[in-house]
Amino acid sequence: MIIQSLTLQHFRQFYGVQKLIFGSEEDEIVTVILGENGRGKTGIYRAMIFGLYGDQKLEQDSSDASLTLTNTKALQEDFESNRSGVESKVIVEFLHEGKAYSIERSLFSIMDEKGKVIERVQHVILSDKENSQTIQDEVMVNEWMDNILDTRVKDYFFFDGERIERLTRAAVEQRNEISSGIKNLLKIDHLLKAKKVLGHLQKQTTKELQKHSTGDYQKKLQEKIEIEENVEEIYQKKELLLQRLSKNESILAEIEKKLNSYKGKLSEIERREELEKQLQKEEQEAEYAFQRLQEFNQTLPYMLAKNTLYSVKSQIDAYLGEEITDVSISVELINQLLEDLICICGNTFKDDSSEYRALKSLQKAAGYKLDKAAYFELKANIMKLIGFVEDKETQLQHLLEQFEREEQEVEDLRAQIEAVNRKLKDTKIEDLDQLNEKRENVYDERANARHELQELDEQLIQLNNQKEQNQLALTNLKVKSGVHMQLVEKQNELEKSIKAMDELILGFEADVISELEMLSTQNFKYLLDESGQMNIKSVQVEKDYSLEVLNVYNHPFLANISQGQRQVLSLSFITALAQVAGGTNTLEMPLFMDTPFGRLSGKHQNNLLDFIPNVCSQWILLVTDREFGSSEREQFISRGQVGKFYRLDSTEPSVTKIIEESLQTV
Amino acid sequence: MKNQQYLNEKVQEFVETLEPNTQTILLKTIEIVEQRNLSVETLAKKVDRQVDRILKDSQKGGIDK
Repeated sequence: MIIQSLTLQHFRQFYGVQKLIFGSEEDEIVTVILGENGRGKTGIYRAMIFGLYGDQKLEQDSSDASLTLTNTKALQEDFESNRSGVESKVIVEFLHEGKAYSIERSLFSIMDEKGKVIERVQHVILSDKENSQTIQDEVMVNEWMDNILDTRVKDYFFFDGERIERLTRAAVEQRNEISSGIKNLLKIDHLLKAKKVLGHLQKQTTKELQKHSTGDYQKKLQEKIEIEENVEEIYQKKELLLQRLSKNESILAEIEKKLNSYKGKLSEIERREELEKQLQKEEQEAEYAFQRLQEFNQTLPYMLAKNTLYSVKSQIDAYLGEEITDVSISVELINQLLEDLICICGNTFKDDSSEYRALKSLQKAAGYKLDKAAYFELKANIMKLIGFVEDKETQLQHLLEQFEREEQEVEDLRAQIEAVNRKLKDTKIEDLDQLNEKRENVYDERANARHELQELDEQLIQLNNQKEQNQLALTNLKVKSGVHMQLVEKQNELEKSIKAMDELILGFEADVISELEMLSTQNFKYLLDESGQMNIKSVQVEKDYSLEVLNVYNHPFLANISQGQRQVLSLSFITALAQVAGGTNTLEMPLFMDTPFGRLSGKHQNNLLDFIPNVCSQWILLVTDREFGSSEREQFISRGQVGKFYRLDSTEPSVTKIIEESLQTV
Repeated sequence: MKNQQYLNEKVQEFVETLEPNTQTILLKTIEIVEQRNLSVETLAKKVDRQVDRILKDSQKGGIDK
C-alpha cells in the first residue's frame, strides 16, 4: 500500500475541506508534516487510522475519555444556525499492487444545549477506481483492509514514535495478539490454517471410524476422541484467559495513566515505579541464573560418580604401592649404561660404586613403570576426571549462590513494593486510594490468570502423553472389516500429514525468525551510536516474536538499554519485518510516524535519516519544530528525498490550516 | 510479495522428502486453503474429497497430483 492523499473535512482541528498529498515517487518518498504541539499532528494520525481502519480512538486514549472527532468550530456554527448536524469526513486515496483505491469514512455529529456532542458513523465507501466498483458494507470493507495490512500489526507501520518502544516490552498476552499478526504478514498463518483443516478432517474420520468399530478398538477410539476434545477445551480456555489478560493490561494502562497525574505530589508513586523496574530486571536475572542451573543438569551424572572415582583411585594407589620417582629415561639406555659401566656424562664407574647403585635403582623403577603402564594411564585419566568434577562442583556452588542471591533480591524488592502499596492504599486521598486498590486487584487477577495458564500448559503435556499411548494401543489392535481398514488407512495418512505439516511449519517459522534476527541485528547495529554498538552483540527474536538484546557476553541485556535505544530497537525490528515480508523488493507499505525523534540522540537520528528511506517504500513524518531544526532540514535537503513538506498553522482556536511549503524556503 | 514465493519454495523443497500420499495430501490442502474466506469446516470437506481420491488412486497404483 502506498498512500497518495488524505482529505479531511471538519475532522478534529481541520475546519472545512483540506487535503494532503504524499510524496511517493521513487526518489522522493518522504513527506514531512511540521507542527508545534497542539496544532493537529496527532489529528492527522487519527484521521489516517480512522480512514483506513475505522478506529475512533487511538491506543493511547483512555477508554472513558470523551473524544470528539468532528471539528469544534463546525459544530458550534451548526448549533448557532439550523442545528441540522455536521458531516465530518476522511478520505484516504492509495495504491495497492498497482491498483488505485479510495476509502471514505464519514461521521454525523450534532451538539446539544449543554455542549454534549452526539457522534456516530455515517457511512464507509471503499472504491476500486480501476473497475469502478464500490463496497459499502463496513464489515466487508474492514475485512478487505485487513487483507492488505493485518489490523493486529498496523501499529508496526502507523505509530506514535514516543510509544513505539513499548513494542519491546509488550506483556505475554499482547504478544500473543501481535505474534498472530506477524504470522499473517509472514504467511505462516496460511500453513497454520491448513493444519487446522487437516485436524478437523482427522476428527471427523475418527468419529466415522468409531461407528464402524467394535470392542477394544471402539473403546480406544472413544478415548482418543475424549483426549482430543479435552485438548480443544484447554486451548479454548487458554484463549479466554489470554483475552482476560489483555483486558487487564488495558485496565492497568489506564490506571497508570491516572496515577501519573499524582506524580510529583506523592513520592511513593515514583518510588514504586522505580522498584517495579528493578524487580523486572531482577526477575530476568533470576530467570537467567535458573536457566544456567538447568543447563548444568547434563553435568550432574559426573558428580554422582565422584565417590566411585575417589574409591577407584585409592585402589589403584594401593595396588601401585608408594609413589616412585618419575623416570624419564628409557630402560634400554639404562641397561646399556650398566653394561658399559659408563655414565651418561662420559665418566666411567665401577660395579660397586654409588653411581652403579643409583642406576640399578633407576633400572628397577623404569621396569616397574613399564610393567604397570596401563594402571598409570588409568590413574592419570581418573585424576583428570576428578579434576573436572571438582571444577564443576565449584561452578555449581557459584551458580547456586548466584541464583539464591537473585531470588533474595527479588523477594526483597517484592517486600518493598508491598510496603509502598500499603502506603498508597492509605493516603486518605479517596481517588488515589481507590485507584491503588483497583491496581492491586488487577495485579492479583493477572497473577492468577498466569498461574492458570501455566496449569493448562501442564495439562496439555499430560494429554499429549496420553494421546501418544492411545495411538500406540490403537496401532497394536487388529483391524477387522474392509470399510474399517479403509478408514484406518485414511486416519493414518491424515496423522502422517498433520505431523509433516507440523514439521513444515516449525522449519519455515525457524527460517523466518532467523532471518528476522539477522536483519534486526544488522539494522540495530547500523542505527546505534558507537557506545551502543560496543555493548550490544545481537537482537534475539523469541518464539512469540518478542525481542531480547544480547550483550557482548551473550547475556540478556534488554532491561539495561535506554528508552531511546528501545525506540531504535523497535524501529530495527519493524524495518526487518518489512524486509522479510517484502523479500528482495521493498515492502509496499508506508511507515507513518508521529513524533519519531523525541527520545533519540543526535547520532541515532542521523542514522535513522540515512537508513529508513532505503528500507521502506514511503515515509511520512509528523514532527515538532524541536525535532525538525535547521540541521535536520539541511540533511533532508542534501539527501533530496523529501517529496512533500507541510506546515500546520493555527489561525484561530480549533482551526488548523495545512500549508504546503518548499523545504528550501522554510 | 516475496514471502509468498519463499513459502512456496520451502513447501516444494519440504514435500520432496515425504511419501507420495502424504506429499499429495499436503500440497492439495495448502492449495485448497488458499481460498482464504472459507471456513475450516468447508475447507475440510473439500480436502476430505481429495484425500479419498488420493487413497483410491494409490490403491489402483496411480497417483493423481
